[in-house]
Amino acid sequence: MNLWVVVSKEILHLRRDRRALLILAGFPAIVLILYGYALNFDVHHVPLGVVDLDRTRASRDYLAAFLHGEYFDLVATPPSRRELADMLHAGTVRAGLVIPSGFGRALDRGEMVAVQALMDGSNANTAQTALGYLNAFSLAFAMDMARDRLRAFGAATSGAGIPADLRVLVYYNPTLETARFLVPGLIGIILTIMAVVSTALSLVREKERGTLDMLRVSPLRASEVVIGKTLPYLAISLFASSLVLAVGYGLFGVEVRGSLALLFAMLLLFLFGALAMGVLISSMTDSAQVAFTVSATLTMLPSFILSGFVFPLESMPAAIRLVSYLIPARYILAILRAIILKGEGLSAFWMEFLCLVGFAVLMVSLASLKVRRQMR
Amino acid sequence: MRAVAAILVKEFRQIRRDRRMIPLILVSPIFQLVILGYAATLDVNEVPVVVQDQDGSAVSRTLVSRFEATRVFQVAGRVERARELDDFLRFGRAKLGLVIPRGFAADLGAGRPASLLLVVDGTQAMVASVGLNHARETLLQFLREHLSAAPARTGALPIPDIRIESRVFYNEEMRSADYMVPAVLAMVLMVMTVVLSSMNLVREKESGTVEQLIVTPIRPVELLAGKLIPFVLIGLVDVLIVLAVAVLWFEVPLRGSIPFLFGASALFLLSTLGLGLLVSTASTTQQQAMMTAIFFVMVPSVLLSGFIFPIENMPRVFHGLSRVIPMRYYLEIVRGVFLKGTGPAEHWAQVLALAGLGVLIFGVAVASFRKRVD
Repeated sequence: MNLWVVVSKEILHLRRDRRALLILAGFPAIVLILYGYALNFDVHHVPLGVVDLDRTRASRDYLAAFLHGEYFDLVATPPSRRELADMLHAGTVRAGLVIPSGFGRALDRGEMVAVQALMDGSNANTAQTALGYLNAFSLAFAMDMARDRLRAFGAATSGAGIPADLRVLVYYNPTLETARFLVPGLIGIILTIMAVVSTALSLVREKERGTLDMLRVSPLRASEVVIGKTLPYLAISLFASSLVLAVGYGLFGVEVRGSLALLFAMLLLFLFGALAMGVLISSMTDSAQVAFTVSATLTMLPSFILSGFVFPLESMPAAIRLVSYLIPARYILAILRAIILKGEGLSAFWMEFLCLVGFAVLMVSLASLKVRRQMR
Repeated sequence: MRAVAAILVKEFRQIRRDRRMIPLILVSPIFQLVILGYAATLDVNEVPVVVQDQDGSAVSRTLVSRFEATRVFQVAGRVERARELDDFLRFGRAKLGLVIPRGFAADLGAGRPASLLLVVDGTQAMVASVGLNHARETLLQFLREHLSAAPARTGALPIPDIRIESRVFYNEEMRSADYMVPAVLAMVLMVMTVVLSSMNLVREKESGTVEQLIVTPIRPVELLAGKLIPFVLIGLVDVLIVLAVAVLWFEVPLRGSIPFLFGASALFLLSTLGLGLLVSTASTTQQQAMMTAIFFVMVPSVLLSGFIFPIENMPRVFHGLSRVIPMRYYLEIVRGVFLKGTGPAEHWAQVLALAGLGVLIFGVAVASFRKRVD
């Protein structure tokens, strides 16, 4: 019964603060819309400068292979390598190619030709991807030439054509759309940030205003305070998640393949842990500013970067990978992806599920313990 | 002036009394640096691959060994049946499955079209597409070697090849840390001057002490200066910490001039302090101020400034939006100064934009603050 007193008190606070309520409920969906459209990891339309010292049909065909897709935009054809380097420095081009003279002839003779690529490496990720494209296109062009020759030569001899081909079967996200894998990830991340940050101020606020003493003399138990303070946020967060799922389906066509009930059960479990974590931070700090800084530092960047949201966990250094096991967003992300994209059940992610249970139990008991000590 | 000093003393006393504040101010940027420096990389390597080799020939084994040899792939397991392969993908033990069908070597030897099957887990689209490209490349390389090793079939016709020799400027080893670490400067300044300063201003309102301040002979501008200066100072200390860690620990090259960097930081601060002030006048509680600052200032800034995700890859609408984000210009300057060694000559446009936005935002903020206080 006491629980409802705390709950209705928090609801009163929230109702008076319409803006906070609106932000909590609506912002995740807005962020999803923004991110869904704005985030794209495919590197497209890299401004390219080309110095063609060969000027043969082969060099023109070679270039056409690059410019045919949407990967590179030919913006300049300077006469020399020096001018190309200047353009790179000025930022007019991000990548440059120098095709040596004798390119076509060497290819005809079946020799190896070296083409020089100048890259602006300041954004390492873009540069690496663009360089990957250059390599792939060159390799494909050379293979095409080889195949044409084989065909011309081998038509008379043996079975012609390309000797092997690669059939590709993409599971779960056949078109490799970014939005598809962003939606489940975003739900996990935004919920982490919101849940922790929104409750991080819950107790500190009472401390700063001196109203904690009133709570202390009241017959409320610590667990009632913790649960009572988190319940309203739990409801808001669940509402926000449903909104995100609806937007994901409506705008980006991401449907939940697995069971919705299971999805919400997992979210509930995760939210309990995250909200309790906020209360814990709140009980350990003395001012709202410190509480904010701690919760933001612990949730914002880590849940973005160490959760496997965009940056592949496999490629991180071993020490950082170990740290990532401490980030609860990592587990809920894996679970959300499994349910939404793969349509899996509990059997596919029981490890992650157990970790989340551990996280929730740990956080709720730590928070209750801390609050109990403070209420004394 | 004396009034400003008095408020400064009060503010610093408050900060000092909160014994967790000082260590936090030092630790928080370092934490961000470590995460962004070590973990924010889109390098794809050690993608787990599961292999189903139905052929079991010398040729197929060579192909698998080619996959093992690249840094990009790591053979996580070998299976006999398609069911087992699917399980590897379902449970996330592998991201890629390579199926070499029976008769692969025989087909290849006879010059018949031989085919391979690659099964890809598309949930992480980025990893999937990079992995797919590398798989194609590995396969093409393998076929080229295979063809060259059998000149009899190609009639002693040598196979042409094009090799890309790359020369990378500014960030020669293409380390993503070199790009990410300098950006922490912007992040730290934002947190200090937008979120914390706005919360600090609102705190007086929330605890009702703002009336006491108003009845004192302190003018609004003096009050403002006294309240904001501590965060500017803390912000600049954080800039020094970030610079030191970036250069000494992460060994990011700092090629341009440090005074120019500080000048640009000061201009950036003008906008962020203005934003913090605006947030505080629009909020009545610290919680409100914090949420407004995070969701209306921080998140859009980080998202649209090219902090992690390049602006070029975004749709046109977002290019326009990003032009009014001060952080965008500041990041261009910071990254230029660090990696390219560029100075005012190259960055005049960004400096102008920062100054314009700064004067505008700060002016509006101060005007609305005075109106509030009066």
